[in-house]
Amino acid sequence: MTTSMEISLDVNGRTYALEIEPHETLLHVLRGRLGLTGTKANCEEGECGACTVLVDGRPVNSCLMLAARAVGARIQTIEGLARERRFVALQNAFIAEGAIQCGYCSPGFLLATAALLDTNPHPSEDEIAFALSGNICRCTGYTKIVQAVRKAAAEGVQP
Amino acid sequence: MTPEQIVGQRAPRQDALAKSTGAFIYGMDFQLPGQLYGAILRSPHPHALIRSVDASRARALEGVEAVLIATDLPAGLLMPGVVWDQPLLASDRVRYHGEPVAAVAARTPELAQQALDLIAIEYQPLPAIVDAESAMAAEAPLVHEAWVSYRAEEGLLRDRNVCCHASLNKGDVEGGFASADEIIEGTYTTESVHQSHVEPRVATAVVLGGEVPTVYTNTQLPYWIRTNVAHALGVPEEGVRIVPTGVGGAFGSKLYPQIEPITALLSRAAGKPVRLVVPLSDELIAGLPRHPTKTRIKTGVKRDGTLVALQATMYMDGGAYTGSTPEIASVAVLCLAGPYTTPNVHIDVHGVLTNKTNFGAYRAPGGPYSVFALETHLDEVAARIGVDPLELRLKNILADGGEAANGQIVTSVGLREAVERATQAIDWHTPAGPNRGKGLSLGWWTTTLQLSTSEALVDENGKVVVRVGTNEIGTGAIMGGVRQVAAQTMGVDIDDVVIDVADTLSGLWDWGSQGSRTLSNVGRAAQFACQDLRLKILSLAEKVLETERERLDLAGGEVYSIDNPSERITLKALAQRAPAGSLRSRAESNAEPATHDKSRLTSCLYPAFHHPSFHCHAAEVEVDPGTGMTRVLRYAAAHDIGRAINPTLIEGQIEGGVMQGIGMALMEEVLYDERGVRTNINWTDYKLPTIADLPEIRAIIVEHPTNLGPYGSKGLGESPVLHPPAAVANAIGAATGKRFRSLPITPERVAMASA
Amino acid sequence: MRPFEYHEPTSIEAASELLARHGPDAAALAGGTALLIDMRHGELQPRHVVSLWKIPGLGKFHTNGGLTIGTLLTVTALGDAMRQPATLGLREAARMLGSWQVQNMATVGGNLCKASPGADLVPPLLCLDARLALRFADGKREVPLDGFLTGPDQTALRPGELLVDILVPQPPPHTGTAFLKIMRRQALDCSIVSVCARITLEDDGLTCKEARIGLAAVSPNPIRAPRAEAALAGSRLEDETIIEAAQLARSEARPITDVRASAEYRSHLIGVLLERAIRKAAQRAREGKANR
Repeated sequence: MTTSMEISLDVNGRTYALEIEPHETLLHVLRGRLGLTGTKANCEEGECGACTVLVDGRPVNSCLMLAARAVGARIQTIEGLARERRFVALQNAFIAEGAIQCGYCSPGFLLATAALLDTNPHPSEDEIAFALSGNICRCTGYTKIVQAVRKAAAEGVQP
Repeated sequence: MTPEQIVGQRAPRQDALAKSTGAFIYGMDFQLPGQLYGAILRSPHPHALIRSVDASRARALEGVEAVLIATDLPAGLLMPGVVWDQPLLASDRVRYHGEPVAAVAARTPELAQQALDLIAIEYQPLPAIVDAESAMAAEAPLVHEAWVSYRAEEGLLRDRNVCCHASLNKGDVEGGFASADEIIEGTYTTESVHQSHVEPRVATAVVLGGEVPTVYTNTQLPYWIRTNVAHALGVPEEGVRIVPTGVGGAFGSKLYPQIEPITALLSRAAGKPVRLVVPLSDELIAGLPRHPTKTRIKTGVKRDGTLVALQATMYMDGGAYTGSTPEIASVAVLCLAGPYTTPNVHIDVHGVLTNKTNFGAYRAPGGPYSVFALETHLDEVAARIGVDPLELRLKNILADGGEAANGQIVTSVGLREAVERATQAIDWHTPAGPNRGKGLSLGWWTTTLQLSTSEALVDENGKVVVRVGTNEIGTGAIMGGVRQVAAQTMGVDIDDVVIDVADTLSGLWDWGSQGSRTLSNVGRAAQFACQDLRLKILSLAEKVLETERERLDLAGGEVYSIDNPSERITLKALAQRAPAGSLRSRAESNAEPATHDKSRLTSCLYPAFHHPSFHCHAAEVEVDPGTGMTRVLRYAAAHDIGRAINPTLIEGQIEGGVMQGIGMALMEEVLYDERGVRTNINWTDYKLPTIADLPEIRAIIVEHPTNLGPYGSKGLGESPVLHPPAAVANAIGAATGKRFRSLPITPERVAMASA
Repeated sequence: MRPFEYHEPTSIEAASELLARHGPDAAALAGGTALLIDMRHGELQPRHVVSLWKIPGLGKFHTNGGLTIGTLLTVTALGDAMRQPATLGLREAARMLGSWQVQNMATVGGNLCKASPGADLVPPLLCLDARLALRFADGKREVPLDGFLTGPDQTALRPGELLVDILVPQPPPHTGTAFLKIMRRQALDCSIVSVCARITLEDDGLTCKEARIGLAAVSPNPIRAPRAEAALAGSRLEDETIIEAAQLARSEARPITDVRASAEYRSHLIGVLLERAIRKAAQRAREGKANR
């Protein structure tokens, strides 16, 4: 008896037909099968947020989502966000403010920030902290990330 | 951005764009076709004899292509170090929870894990030594019964479980105590904290017959990895190629050859590439986190605040193998002395072996726990004589031209300025409100030296390519700072400089991205190479423009005649006319170490702080008296870094280090049970600061240039983590009236101290 | 993670049948945030994972009189919907459950059925007298939340039974709730202790008509503190009464020492947090309008 299943995933606006094992997580499928290595892996427990992707516009930990569960949803990784017009202001802000050091956490932060500004274009400090406390950065100490979010919000991140 | 302005500007980094889009390739993203997956089997016991190992079922598993146990390696193979005491795989005994015992390579990660499960090891558990002080007792069992036989660096004082004893003696402490008005004593303890870089440790080795053995790794120190891989393979170093990949954070952890040698051996055994990732739980169990310490300090002080005697004894838990402990112990000596004028000082640091993971270099090794002990102790001294902690510091700190405890003369001392600006930034003299308190910490730190090699060339497109021998680990020292230095030296736009991290076949030997040395030393080598390249360019242009070299200048990407500026040629045009390989220069930086008084130090492998930086942090906290939770409100961190090459990068180091230090102060703790088994082995239970823990941080740049790094710069990467534990502890002490002499100062400890 | 067979039943009956048939070899997949971690650590190794996501009607949210919360409503959606003074405690708990990422995936039903000692949503739901609608094949029953959790990671669900709705009766007028949680840092952690208090005032706006207290991470499952509740009811919520109630609640808890905290500190925190939660709930009760 085989457990493999055929699924179709909508990733960054493109439809992928895949044969997967049910126990594969969305993270594993994105990085391993689709070669989209912009989404990062480490703790696999929802503690570090490096694996953050947007599912129907909301940030989730792709390490805690079975790929099978993501069928029918609109999935966006950093590669997809980076092609959008709204990314320009975000990218400029993160780079100019020095919010990227080793950069391993950056895709997760950029996606979470995009999702935040999408629904809350002028977030308060508390709202920024709430939206981003699921993403660990060990290099920047967060100060410049907050500056970058404020700067992007001030310039207007239009979807 | 015009060339004259590049140094000192907030220029963007070369790697920022790729990192922002997800295009940047880290070690974790690096894959090779046909690769196998490696995995390491680790000891579940902190101390045990290995009675038998049976790997036959693992070897027989379909899809498993290599299995290594100790008997598959050269007998008695020990890895190089200050003391050669560590095997690649444990053979007759295991000495810490998580010690590697076997390794496999298989076609899938799942098969590799299954293979590990099939290796049968019979352990005979032994009692574990879990406390450094008791490990020093005469009757304590030995962590290494054969310690005498190990090859060791000369001058190292070792005795049974003590793997090193570094000491400093200045003046006469007993006489100093006799002259003191007050004597204050205290004991301070710190637990280990873990680097917790967000990218795992990973290496991909390709060791195939007839080819150059190659390992791709997210290392901070390619040439040390090369030494160890070559040693494991039994081949000359120059014949091994280490290729640095992108790095997602390191903080000292990725200096060590934890997996490269074993991965190379797996690849050789299997005849295929092997990729090995260290899962987070293994990294938390068996990485190289910061040393746990216990320090006793005794200070003699005059009523007017003059420090007259300092005596400190530190027990530094080194874990199961010597590793970097001797060097780190020596650094601790200098941190315990502090940048003070105290005339009588005696410091002993004992590095002691126990059955815990071998503790190693984590950002400012030797530093934060020493500064915590000294700087919280000094607040107690101030309290005893009724003096403001700030006044006590100002009365006793070194000034320019002063002599540190090890006899070195310090210059470019921005310490007083750092202290004044940091304390001003949090309104030091304004009393804090109810349940609030302010605290400070100050210190000094080194700019590690040693060799860096760089090569600069002009390519056929007129771009300046600067090749370096060490990796960009995230600080921006290489992809930011060195690039700016090169651009300014060459008189080109920053976008016309490409920094290339070369593999070890380049021969660009480098002591690595560590020890706050990167920008100062790699930048210096790059600057020398660029200066030499400039001369070559001008010499070539001399012929082309038929103008004497002395009357030519290079700016804006062009060589032009000073007397007749319309006579000019672009670098691109010049490069195309140059004989192949002629516009290329290689240079070294190997600066002179600081001199010190050798008679004051015994067995100190790191005897002086070269081109030292000086710094002061000041924190304001609010403590919830009911829950014990501490909220850091304002935090000012002033660092004398000589000369700011890029203020954004400097602030980034300061802010990042402050948060790591706040983690150590309030929440991070590597925990063992009473048997020596690691207990909190995931990020659920090893708590890292999140953005919700962020205070308002003010990074303050102080500039007292020195003659080391480009444009007068000195090191920065580590010093920001030195002070938060002490500054926050002192602030909590001021807020609660209670002293906390051990870390972390958790809400529970604060609440129960008052309950 | 051990491989498993994945099922996506499209009706409660089909899901129920699968879960009953495979018993301990099956696990229901709601948000997955707890399940996947348990599976990765080997604590749970189901051979069958039964996704609930193709079953219609499990993600509903109605407010007609009381609240009907579908089991698959995400924690984010729950928090977004709770705006009244009477339910602010539930919003606060939702916002402190894990991170934003986790809240977007985790479900109300999943948090209850995982039955962690520190389950964040349980204290406020206990305070609101929540009841649970359970379905099995074509049968159903309704049980109070209080009593549904029968031990760490254990519930009163019968084999094949599914939690489909969480029912919150309309809170009486002049009701306020407040939730407080203490962690080892400012965000993203399991509770060291969490508490919820509900105060319902008489029409005079001063006398406490009814009180409820929910405590988590201080016993095998989150609990009420009936003696503390009784001390508050009928009182005018004077300082001494509030303090006494908080101390009574401490005696009703059985905290343990674990990797996060000691029993002593947990006990201490109950007292500290409850005083604050009671006052906050009372203030919300005074300020709030009647619930519609």
